[in-house]
Amino acid sequence: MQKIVDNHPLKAFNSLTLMLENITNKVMTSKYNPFYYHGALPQYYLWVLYLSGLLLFAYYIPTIDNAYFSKNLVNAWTSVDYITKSLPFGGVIRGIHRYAGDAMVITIFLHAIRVWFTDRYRQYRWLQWVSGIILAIFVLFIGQTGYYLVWDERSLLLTRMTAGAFEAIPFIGSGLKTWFLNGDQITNLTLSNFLFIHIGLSFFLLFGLWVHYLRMTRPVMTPPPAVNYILTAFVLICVFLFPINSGQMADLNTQPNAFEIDWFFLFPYALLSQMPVGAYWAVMVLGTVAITALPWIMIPKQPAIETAEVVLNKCTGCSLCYKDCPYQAIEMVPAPAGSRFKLLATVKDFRCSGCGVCVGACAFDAIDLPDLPDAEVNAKIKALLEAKG
Amino acid sequence: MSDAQKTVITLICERAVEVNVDGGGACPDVPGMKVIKFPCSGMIQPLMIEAALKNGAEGVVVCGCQIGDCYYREGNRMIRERLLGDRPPTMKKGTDRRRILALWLARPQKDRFISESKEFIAKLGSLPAPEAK
Amino acid sequence: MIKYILSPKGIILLAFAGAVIAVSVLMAWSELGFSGTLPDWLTDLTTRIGLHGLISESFNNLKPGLGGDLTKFLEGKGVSVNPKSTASLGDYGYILFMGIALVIAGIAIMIIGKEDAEEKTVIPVKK
Repeated sequence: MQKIVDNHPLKAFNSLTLMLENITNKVMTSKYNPFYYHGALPQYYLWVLYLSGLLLFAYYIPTIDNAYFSKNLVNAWTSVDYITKSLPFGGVIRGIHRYAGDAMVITIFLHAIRVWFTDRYRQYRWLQWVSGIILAIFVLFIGQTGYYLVWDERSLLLTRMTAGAFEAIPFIGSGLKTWFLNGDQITNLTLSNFLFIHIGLSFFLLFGLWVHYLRMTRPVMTPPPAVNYILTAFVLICVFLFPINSGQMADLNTQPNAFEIDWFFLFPYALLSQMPVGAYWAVMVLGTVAITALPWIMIPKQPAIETAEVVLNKCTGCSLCYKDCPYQAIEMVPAPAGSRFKLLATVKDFRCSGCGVCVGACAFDAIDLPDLPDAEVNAKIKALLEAKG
Repeated sequence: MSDAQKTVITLICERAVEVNVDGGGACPDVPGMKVIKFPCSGMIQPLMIEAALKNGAEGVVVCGCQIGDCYYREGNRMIRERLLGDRPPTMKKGTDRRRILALWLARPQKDRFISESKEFIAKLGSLPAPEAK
Repeated sequence: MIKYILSPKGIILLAFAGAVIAVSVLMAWSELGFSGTLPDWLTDLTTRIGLHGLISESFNNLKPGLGGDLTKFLEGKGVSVNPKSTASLGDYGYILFMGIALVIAGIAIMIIGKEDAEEKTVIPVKK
């Protein structure tokens, strides 16, 4: 029985996390400790983004130049300007949409760092880790398309940088660029494509979350209301302290070359501006592959999990272990012919974490961890008590 | 010398508070305490607690991680609910519930564990002796 | 109930409730553009119940101080609104006070909701 409890490579970070959470517990008690809802925090911000985005969508016009209004130019930039300056609470809603996005990236980062530091990403959790990486990449991309949509000078520069980066990919590059711009160059159709990517992919996030929650019994999806209040307040106060202003309207005949950077979403562009395109893609792809492979490469020789085993002649098919298993690793199957009971528990080894919750759930000693059967525990209790008495 | 004979059994999650244990399963920091470690506090069966009390343990301390933080997601919540009788399997009616203490402490909270368990042991001394079974 | 309100916890909670209400009043004031002008129905209502002097007075007292500061801060950050529209700088003040009220409310809920023996469970003896 060689378990990685105290000797995994990130032990120091694990202690740091626990120490930090201990302090948070002293202040707000474990019931309201936001670290204990780290996965639910980005999910909450996702709902905020959907709602504020819906209100912005009602007034947004995804064109560069709307021919029907050519006398009085109506385009993406002016519609955003109208939202910001003329709609009651428009500027505020725009600010909420922006900062809730930033907050989502921060909370996703915290979530990932915590599961990594506390060693909760390996083996039976690989699906959560990999789907989480994919979700995070999509969140970043969706956020970046949001920056293209406002169609100020920064949007134009970002669009050109992205198109250039896509074009540099061998074989599929020109196709990707055409897909991205919805044509060979920036036209009215480009922005409708951006709007589709922005909204369409954000609904794909729901599908991704479904995968992320697979194998999780009772996933924690909602922080307690008091935490939600504070999360909302964080965004609202940012909206006041750092109000959003658009830059100059984009002009296709100009070549803007500098912009204010939002480090939460636009850090890849900082990288892209500093190195050749080929090197940029190499860094991005290798970085992603390395992070995705962490569950397998972080600890070279991971001891195999001692999965739970059902004692066939004792199982009564009561389903208590099936209900309590935190990883949906137990399945109730019809009992073999001749059994007195209707159902029989079976363990799916590839999902089992070897935690023993099923042992605690069983009133009939019918499920065991091979390295610590409950008969052995009871014998140990007896031995310890007899040693002195 | 009745005190020396009394033993308190601690059933503890190996990821919760760090308790020193010597080779014989005794905890040198708290006299009279014997420790059994589990991969998760969720593995502890009410049956085990009953067995310990029946075999002459003076009391049982159940210890898991902070509620909300379980390496295996929900183990400490489950055993808490089982102890409180909200989740099957629960303890038998006759079990002396005064002799059971549950602590939910994270790894760095060793001092709290020692002080709480010492207090618990002192309190157990004042309880009437368990009926012979 | 009365015993609970007069306990230290109850008094803290009353203070929090008062703070939330006070900040929420500032939300309404912000929505009116940081000024002392009240909508007609509210003027009418407050005059009838004899509070008009009090409320418009306090709004007006706020206006030169806090209202001016908030306006200056927002204009310094480059916020501008279309004077022909119904949008106003007060929208931002509204959101600020809403944020502050939510923080106070969140803290208050945490105080009410936290269990005393969070790290310890003593199992109740069954009768």
